[in-house]
Amino acid sequence: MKKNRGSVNRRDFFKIGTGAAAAGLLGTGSAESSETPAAPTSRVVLIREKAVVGEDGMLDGEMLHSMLNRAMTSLFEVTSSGKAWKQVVSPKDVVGIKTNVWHNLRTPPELEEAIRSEVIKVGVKPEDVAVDDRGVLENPVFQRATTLINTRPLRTHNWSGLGTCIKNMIMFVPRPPEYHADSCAPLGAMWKLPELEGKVKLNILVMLTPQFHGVGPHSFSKEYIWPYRGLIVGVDPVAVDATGARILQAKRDLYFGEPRPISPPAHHIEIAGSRYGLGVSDPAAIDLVRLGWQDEALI
Amino acid sequence: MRSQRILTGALLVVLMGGCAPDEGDGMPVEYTPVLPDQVAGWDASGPGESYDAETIYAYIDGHAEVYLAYGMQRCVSRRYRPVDGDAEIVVDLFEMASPADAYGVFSHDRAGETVAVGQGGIFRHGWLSFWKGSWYGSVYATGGGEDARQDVLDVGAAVAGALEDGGDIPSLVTRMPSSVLDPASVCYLRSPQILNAHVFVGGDNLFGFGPEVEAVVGKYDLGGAAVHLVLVQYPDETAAEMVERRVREDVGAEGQRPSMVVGRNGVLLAAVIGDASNDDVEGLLEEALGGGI
Repeated sequence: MKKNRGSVNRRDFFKIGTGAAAAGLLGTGSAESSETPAAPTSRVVLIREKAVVGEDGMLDGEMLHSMLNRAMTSLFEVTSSGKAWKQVVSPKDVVGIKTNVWHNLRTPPELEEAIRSEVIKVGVKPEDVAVDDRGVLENPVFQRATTLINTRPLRTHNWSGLGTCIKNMIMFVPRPPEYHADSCAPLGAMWKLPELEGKVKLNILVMLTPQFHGVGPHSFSKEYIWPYRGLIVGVDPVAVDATGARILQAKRDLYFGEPRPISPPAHHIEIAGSRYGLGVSDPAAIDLVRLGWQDEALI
Repeated sequence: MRSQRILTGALLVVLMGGCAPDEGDGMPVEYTPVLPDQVAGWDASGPGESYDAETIYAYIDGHAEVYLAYGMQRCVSRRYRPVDGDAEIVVDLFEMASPADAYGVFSHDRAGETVAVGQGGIFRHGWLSFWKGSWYGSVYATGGGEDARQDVLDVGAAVAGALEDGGDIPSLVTRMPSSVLDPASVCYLRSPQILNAHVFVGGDNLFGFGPEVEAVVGKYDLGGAAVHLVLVQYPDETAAEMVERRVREDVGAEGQRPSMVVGRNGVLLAAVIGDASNDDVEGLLEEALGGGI
C-alpha cells in the first residue's frame, strides 16, 4: 500500500481559492482581511422590525414598505426615500423587478408591490414596470428593461449552498444547468450577459423568515425557517449575499449546537466578486448599517 | 412545465415485474408503481404525475441535481389530503439507476430517526425518506412537524410495501472501518459534488468520479479529531493508479486542497481528509484498504 501526505494543510486551503471563499462567508475571515483590513467599499443596510412578522406568521405589509424606504434612505445617504429611489430609477426607465416565486418561501407580494409603487412614484410609466420570475425571458417589459431590481428570500440550496441574489438571475439563462458546475461557482458569469450587465441597480435580500437548512426533494421544512424579520438592501449583490450568508451560518451553528457549515459551501458568492468583479464579500470591505430591531441579529 | 399523468388505480399495486423480460415478445417491460387514489385513509387530491431527467427541474425547482447525480430515471409523484382537514402529504418515488444509487441518495441525508420502512427509512420533521430496490421514496407533510408523524409513516409504509425488493447495500459501504465511525455520516456516491456536500475537497473532479467509479465517505473521530475517510473503487487498477498519481501530484503541490493522506490497494483508493495524528490516520487507511478486493 502506498501512502502520501500532502503538504497543504487546512489553513493554507482556506487562504486561497474556493477555500478562502467558504471561510470568508462563514465569518472566519480570510487571511487578507485579517492582515490588511480593506476600507469599506460597499454599503449594505440591514433593517429589522420585530412587528413586521407577527407571532402568527402574518406579515405587516405597511411596515415592510416603511422598512424598505428607511433602508433605501440610509443606503443612498439621502434625506428622503423619494430621493433614494431616484438613485435607482429615472422616469424614462423600463424596470423589471426580478422576484422569486418558489412556493415554499417566495418574495412577499407586499414587497413586490412596495417596490413597484416606489418605482412608479419616481415617474416610470406603469406599463414600463413588470414583476416576474420564471417568465423573464419572454416578458416584453423585461426584454426592453433598462433597469432591474432584484429581490428574493435567502435560503439554503442543495447544489449552490445558498439561494442568493446572485443566483436569483438564473432565470435569464435558457439552460440553468450550464451554471451548476462546482456548486454553481460560475453564477456570477450570468451577470455579464447582455440582458443583465450594468442593469441591476438594487438588490433586496428578504430576511423575514429565512431558511437555514433544507431536507428532501422539496428542500423545505418549517422546522428550518425562523422569523428574523429583516431585509438586507444594497447595490452590490456580493456584499448583500455575503452578509446574508454570515447570518444564516450563525443561525445554523446556533440551531445545531455545533459548527455546521453551509453545505456545499456557497462559494459562488465570493467567486462572483473575485472572478467576475461583481462586488466584495470580505466583511472588512462591507460598510454594514444596522437599523431597527437589534435583538438576536446574529451578526 | 411538462409533465405527464400516470395511471391511477384504486389500490396500490405493482402492475408489472421489475424489468423482467415479457414472455410475449421478449422485450423488457417497464416496472410501474401506481400511486393509488386512496392510501392509508388519505385521498389523492389530483392525478399522479411523472417527470424525467429533463422535466424534474421544473418539479423540484433547483433541487434536481442531487437525484440526477445518482442517475435518476424518473420520478412519480402524487399529493394526498385527508377526508376532512386541509393537511397535505406529497409522495415522490424516484427511480434511480440501480439499487446502489437508491441507497446512495437515501444515504446523502440521514439525520433523523431510523424507521422500518422499505429497506431503510428515516423520519424527521414531517418528512420520511426510504429506499427499496431501485426506488428512493419521499413522503412529505407540507405542514411539517411531529404531528404528522404517524400519517406520514402509514402512507410511506403502504407505498413502500408495494415496491419490489432488490439489491443490497453496496458492498463498498461495508468495507468502511466501523470503529469510531459516525454511522449517520456514511454516504455512498458517484459524484464530486455530492462528495463536496459532505467534505469539500475542491471544485474539480479530483477522484475521477464517473458512472464506473463508486465511493463512500464517512466521518470518524480519531482521538478527538474529526476526519473524513473517502474510499473509492475504480473499474480497474490502471484507472486507480492514474487517479492516485494525480492526487499525489495535486495534493503535494501548493494548492487548494484540505490536508489529505491517500493510499491505494489494487482498485481501491482511500483518502483521509482532515488533521489527526499520523498513527491514527495511517491506521484508518490500513484498515480501510487492508486485503484489497
